Amino acid sequence: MAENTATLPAVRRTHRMPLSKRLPLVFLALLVFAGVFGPLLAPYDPTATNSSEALSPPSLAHWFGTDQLGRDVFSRTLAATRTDLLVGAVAVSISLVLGTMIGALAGWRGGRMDVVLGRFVDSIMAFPLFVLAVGIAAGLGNSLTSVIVATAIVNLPFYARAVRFEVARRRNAGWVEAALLARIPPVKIVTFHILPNLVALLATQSSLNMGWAILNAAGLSFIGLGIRPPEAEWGIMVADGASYIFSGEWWVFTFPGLALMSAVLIFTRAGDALRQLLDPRSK
Amino acid sequence: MRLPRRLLSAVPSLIGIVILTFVLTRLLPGDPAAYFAGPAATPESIEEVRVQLGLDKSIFAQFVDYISALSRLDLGRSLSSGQTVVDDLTARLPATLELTVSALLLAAILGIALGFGAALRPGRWPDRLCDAVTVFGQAMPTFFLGLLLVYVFYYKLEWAPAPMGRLEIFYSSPTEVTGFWTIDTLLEGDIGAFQGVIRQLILPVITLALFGLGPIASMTRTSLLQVLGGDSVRTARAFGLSSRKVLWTYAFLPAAVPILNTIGMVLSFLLGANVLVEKVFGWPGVGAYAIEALLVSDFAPVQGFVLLMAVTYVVVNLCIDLLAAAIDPRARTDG
Repeated sequence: MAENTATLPAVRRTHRMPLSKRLPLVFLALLVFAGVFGPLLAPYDPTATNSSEALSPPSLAHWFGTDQLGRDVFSRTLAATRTDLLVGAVAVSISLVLGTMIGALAGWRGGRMDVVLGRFVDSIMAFPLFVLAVGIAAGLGNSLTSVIVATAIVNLPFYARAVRFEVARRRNAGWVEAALLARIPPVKIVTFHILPNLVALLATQSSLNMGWAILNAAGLSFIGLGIRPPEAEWGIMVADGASYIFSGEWWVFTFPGLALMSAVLIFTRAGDALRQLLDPRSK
Repeated sequence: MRLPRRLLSAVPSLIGIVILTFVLTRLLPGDPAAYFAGPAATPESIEEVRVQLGLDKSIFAQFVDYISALSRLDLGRSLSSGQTVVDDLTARLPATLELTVSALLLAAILGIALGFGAALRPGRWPDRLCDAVTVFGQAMPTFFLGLLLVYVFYYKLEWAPAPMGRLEIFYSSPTEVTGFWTIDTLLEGDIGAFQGVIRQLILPVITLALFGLGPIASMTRTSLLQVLGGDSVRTARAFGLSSRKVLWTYAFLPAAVPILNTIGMVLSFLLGANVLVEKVFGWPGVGAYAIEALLVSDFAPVQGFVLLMAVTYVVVNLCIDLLAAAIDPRARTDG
């Protein structure tokens, strides 16, 4: 019974939520759909070149036109959704897991452990984050893995700080003490009794972070790090298209750029929508 | 008494930065000595390079070497330019700073104005505009925005000059005094070149400023709304003070500290986004320099660049702390 009364208001809020607030979640579903099925839905092979049709403007046959090698920009933009979402998702998962572990350890142990881990996280935040990402990607060598790791590390502090705060806040609660007296190992207490309280917070944070992660990874590939050219990825496609601005072929860089912008917009807006949906205290 | 304590508060950040940048230099997978010796190296020459680079020593000894080199301001030598990294960075830093500082100023002025408008008319069009700018500024990739502006204002409308550096070739570049060409051209009394410099600056500055605008605008709005709804403003109004006096003295000054802190945070975004904007606009700054070096696996410049940007950020934030303490007595106590 107690469970019912706890979930009821949340359900009612969903129904009262205006369409404008739910819209980002609908778009989010579409975006993920494009990410999963994009390469299958693409009307052309995203890597197939066709020199006779190079740089043709948008038309009925090629909705977004073609690039310098005659590849269909629409198919490439669609296929790139999977690459960009995957890079973002892997990076965010790493920062979520590592950040949560660091935060939980610091918040639970306190004392010297807290100081050392806190200093580590502060040191990351002392860098302009994109600059640090460039440095990490450079240090690890020019590969897709290093772009993912770099993106994961610069986003890690947000999770570590939030989790540390929430774990430290509950560390001395009566029920935690009771659990300790009942000889439940601390790892279990943290994992099964404290962290589940943070699911809403972390879900919201992850959605916001997906936007930043995608932006960060696309920025790194724009400057030539990570993903290599034949692969379709928004950042590289914009970089490729940049050379054709001076001869007026605007479609080559514009469509992947718009796709990138929309994806980031959808993730940040969906993060806000999720917060309102999951956290009764915000508004 | 207070000032030294503030200065000391930056020390842990600086130590963290130095340690992390050292770790970055040791991340490269595989054997760095083999890497630097080149593909045609024999085991003996690899060993020679290892000794030369000090890689045969313990990691702790290497760290000590790194610190002592840093204290002599030695960041190594760029393989591609042949110069020391410190010389290269010093030559290019003014270009980056001129761009970033101009963009930060523009973002601060526009952001505060927008936030002000939004806070005074909550729910009305200035508020909506503030919200829209914040949301789009967050989602818009800077490099894409830069390219769009180049396409529209250079290619289509032909209002802007070619996105290639700080000044078009037919102007003679000014002798460097401050390194800020807007100031240097004026010092020489070369009005034509000054206008040329401004024309080159406009698009990259707008690109960066739009990126940094959002957080400043929304913090101004939030902070101001909070103060406006508070007791001090109500009391000031009840005493019949003019609304201008209420707004500037009793509302804006108390709201200024969080806004200043946000401006510090935005500087961090801008120093990062700068790398992308410099690439788009062919700007000869430290970011473009680091990327060029990076793409030919010349790592010393990249590490020097990362260190320089982090130190710049820490120093500017320190200045902002001091400024905040000067404005608001409440910000002085915690240190």
